[in-house]
Formats: sequence, structure tokens, C-alpha cells
Amino acid sequence: MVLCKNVFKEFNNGTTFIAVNNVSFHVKAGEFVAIMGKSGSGKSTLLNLIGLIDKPTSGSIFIDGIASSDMNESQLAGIRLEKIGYVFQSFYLDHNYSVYKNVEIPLLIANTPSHKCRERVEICLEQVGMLDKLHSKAGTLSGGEKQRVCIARALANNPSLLLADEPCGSLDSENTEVIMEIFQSLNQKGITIIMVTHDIEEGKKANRIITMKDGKI
Amino acid sequence: MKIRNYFKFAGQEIRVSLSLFIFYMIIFILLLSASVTFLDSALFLPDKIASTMQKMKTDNIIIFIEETSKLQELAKSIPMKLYECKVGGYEFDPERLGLSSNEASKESNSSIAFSGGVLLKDYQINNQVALFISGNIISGEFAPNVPNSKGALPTWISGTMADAFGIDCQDELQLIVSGKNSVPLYVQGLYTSNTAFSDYYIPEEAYSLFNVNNADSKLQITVSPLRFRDIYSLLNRLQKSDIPCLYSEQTVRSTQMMYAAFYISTIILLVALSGILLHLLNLYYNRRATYFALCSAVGMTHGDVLKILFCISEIIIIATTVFSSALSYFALYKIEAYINKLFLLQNEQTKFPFISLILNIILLQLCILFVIKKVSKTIKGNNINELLRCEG
Repeated sequence: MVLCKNVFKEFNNGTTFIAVNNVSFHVKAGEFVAIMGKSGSGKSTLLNLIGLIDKPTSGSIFIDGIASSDMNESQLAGIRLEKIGYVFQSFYLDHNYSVYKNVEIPLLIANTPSHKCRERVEICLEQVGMLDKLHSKAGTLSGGEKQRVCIARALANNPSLLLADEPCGSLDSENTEVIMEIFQSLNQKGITIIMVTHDIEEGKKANRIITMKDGKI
Repeated sequence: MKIRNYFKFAGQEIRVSLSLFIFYMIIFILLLSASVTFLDSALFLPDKIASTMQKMKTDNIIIFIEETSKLQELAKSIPMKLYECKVGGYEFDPERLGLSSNEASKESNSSIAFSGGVLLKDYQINNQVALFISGNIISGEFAPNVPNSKGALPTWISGTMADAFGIDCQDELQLIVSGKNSVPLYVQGLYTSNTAFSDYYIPEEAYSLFNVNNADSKLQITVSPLRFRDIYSLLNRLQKSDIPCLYSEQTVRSTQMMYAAFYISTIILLVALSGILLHLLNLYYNRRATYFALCSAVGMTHGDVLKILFCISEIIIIATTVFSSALSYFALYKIEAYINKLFLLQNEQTKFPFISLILNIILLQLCILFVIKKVSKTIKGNNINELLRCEG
């Protein structure tokens, strides 16, 4: 599903900082992998590279056997749209929009017909137990609810790979438990999940843990 | 993405930042309506003023010319009316036709001063003199270029002058050229007197014979272009051909400045409009950068973002056009009413500024493309991850 080969990522803000240093690993389809490490270890950067929202300085990342380095901006956007679902720690829900409108965004980008859009939004919200909040404004939701809507949005285009960057980082233990249960249930349905976390309890829910330190595995 | 979806995104985004867009839309409405009003005024108002000027004959140009063929050449490219043609520098009174003032006092007690002009043989320049004589013949006929059996050239005399000198049709006259030389003429027709025209007209051939013996004589031809805006090209052509002329410089310059002021104002307003549109899109994009970063993270391309911005611009411009067309119509109505009052013209129904509006819309579309191209540089320079990290 995901193959990283000698991936390097450098940031240059006056001084060069290597965030990801020669990382190679393979995630098989249907796996639930947790990437763990201390703050600044490079785990979120690695997740962004896998999610194709950032480009590696060198090395290759393969998604379903396709090298990201060979793709142009439009093709990368296509892969992000069709194959990858992204769950952010900060949710990035638009508070001006309703829950429905927020979840609908990837479907509109994918040109899904309106009747199917509604059907798909309802299915996704049902999967995360948020169907009753369909018309609520995103700004009125609690942190746990926002994260569940964020997961629903990530699932909208039925991706085979779900990337989660500290999904429970800003949630209490009760909501963390709910979110982790959702991830486990999605994984059981065959969705490959790569989750970045620094919480060992959350990590234990994954099939495999990859630990990062100073940009290395 | 489908066009419908771009507009859906654009509509949602306008609703989200409604107060921002309404504020800028009010500015756009004011600018666009001013621009349409100025452009419409530039296109049609000078013609309206010109028609008044033509009636008042303040747009007349007196051309001093020796060879009438040069005038014909000009008239081919610039359609114009010929109002009068006199011989410059020479007294063309009845004595020139061998008629003495004593003779006039014998027949009537009139003390009117009579003067003569030249009838040009070509009619291609809307010769108002020929049109007037042919339409106002009292007796005889108007058949230029037809000499009588004795070879005398035709001439035409006003009724008043004919009465004053006791002249009748077919009477023979002599055009005094110089010294004892003369050109034989005969009265072909009499016409109704009119202060706008001379009291008698000799044919161009007679003038040519006169000119041979008086080489320094020039024709003073009063013309006016059919379209007022041609006045500038006519003056330029005359200047290039070294043909001296007289005209009301103040009138011509002031109307020229009026044209220029309207056109320049339109351009300035459109430039201002595109500058404000660029500012609006940049402002809006910066406010919604995280939202667009998220959209990009879930599969939207830079091109899609630009197309959404394009749709937003189009929606704003369409709404602006609707409101500003009404506002500019009202402004034009007021301007026309004022102009009509100023020039004592009849009030006509104000025409809807279709042409100006369409021209403005076309120019605005070019402005939008320019603005989108500018914004695309900002968007392409942005990194999704950095924008998301800023929000985080």
C-alpha cells in the first residue's frame, strides 16, 4: 500500500534541519500502523510526505505502487482525492459551514452527483455516529464531535488509506476512546490506517508501531 | 471539477464572506456605473453637442484652396458638406459682372450690398449651394456646365439682385477678369434670395478663367464634416497638405478635450476597478487560506482554486453589472436632461447604454483574467502544509 524508500526531508530556514532522515518502510494494505515518537522527531512530517501534501527532498514514496516523484501537481491532487483520507489534529472544519457542507467538500471536488453526495455524506456520518448533527454548524460542535466529522470527511471519497495526525491530541480520554474505536472499526473494514501519535495507549491499538527519533526510524 | 461545482463553491464562499463582498461590490457598482456613464458620454454626447454646433455653424472650417481637385480628394475619405464658396482677396460685387450701382438705384431704391460666389462643378461633397439653387429656382433652370449657343457660361442670380438690377433669364453678362478682359456669361436661372447664400454664383469654369489672369486668387470654401469627430482628421489632413484654413479653434479643442476626458476617465476607472478586484481577491484568499489549504489537502488543485476565484469574480461582476446598468442609466438620463437644457435641445428618451455596458464588460473580463493571473502567482507559491501549520 505505502512504500517509503530512503526518504529525506530537509527544512531550510537559514539553517538546515533534517526532519526525516533516510527513512524506509513498507505498510501493507489493511494494516493499522502507529508512528510514534517525541515532539520534533519528524513523525508528522513523514505523515505529510506519505499524504502527498509535502514533497521529500530526496527518496521515493510509492502509493499503491505509483511513485509520487513521477507525478505532477494535478496527479498528486488526484491521488489525495481518490486514495487518501486525512484526519488532522486541528480538524480544519469550516465553522461557517454545516456538518453536511464540511463533509461534502471532497465529494464536490470529485464531481459526485448531488443525490449520491447526500447519500455518501449520510453514510460517512453514520459510520462516526454523527448523522443527527447533519445540519448543525461545525462551530457549535464539541472537540470530539469535530474530530468525528473530520473522520467522516476523510472517508467521504471511500479512500483505501487513512492518515491521522495526532487525531486525539486535543481530545479528552472519553473522546479518545470513541475515536480509536472508530479507527479500529474502519481498519476491520479493510482501510489501511497510518496514525501519528505520542500516546503509548493509542499506539497499542495499532497492529504495528514505528518509532521515530531525530528523523530516523 | 465540473463548472457547476466551481460556482457552488464560489456561491458558498460569497455567502461565508458576504459583508466583505457586499462592501467591495458597492465600490464596484459606483466605479462601473461611472465608467459606463463616461464611456457612453464619450461615444454619444459629443455627437449630440456637435449637432447643435453644426446648426450654429460653429464647426465650420473655411479652407483656402486653389485646386478644387484637392478638396474632392479630401471629400472622398471624409464626407462633408460644402456651405459656401467665395473668391478670396477679390471683391465679387455686382460690378464684377459689369453691373454698376447706378443701374441698381434706377430700378429700385435698394441699398443692399450684393456679393457673389462660385459654384463648384462637382457635387460629391454635398454641395449645399447647388442643392439650394436647384431647389429654389424662380425662373429659368439649373443646368450647370451648359453654355449657351454663343458659348457664354451659365450664371445664377438671386431674385432680389435680379429685381435690383432688372435682370432676367438669358440676359448676357460679362465677368470682368482684369483690365479690359472678360468672360461671357448668361443668366441661366433666378433663385429665391437667402441670407445664408451669395446673391449670384458664377460657374467654376468662369472662376478658372478669372484665376488665370489673377494668379493670387484662392477659393474660400466653407465646409463641415458630416460626422463631427471627423473634424480632427480633416484638420490634420489639411495641415499635412499645407492647405491653410480657418476654424473655431476654441470650440474644436474644447470638444476634443471632452472626448479625451471621457475616454481617459473610463480607462482610469477600469484600472482602479481591476486594482480593487485584485486587492479583494488577495484579501479574501488570505482570509480563507486555511480553507483552501484543506481543500488542496483533500484533492483540489491550484487550478481549481483559481477557477473558484474566477467564478467569485464573475458572480460579483454580474451582480455589479445589473446594479450599475440601472445606476448609469439614471446618471445618463440626468446628464442628457442637463445637456438638452443647456443647448436648448428637445428632450428625447434616454437610450439604455448597451454598447458602453458591453464594452465595459469585455474590458472587465480582460481585467479579471489579468487579476487571476496575478493571484495565481500567490497561490502557486503557497505550500499546503505551511498554510495548515500556520492555522494549527
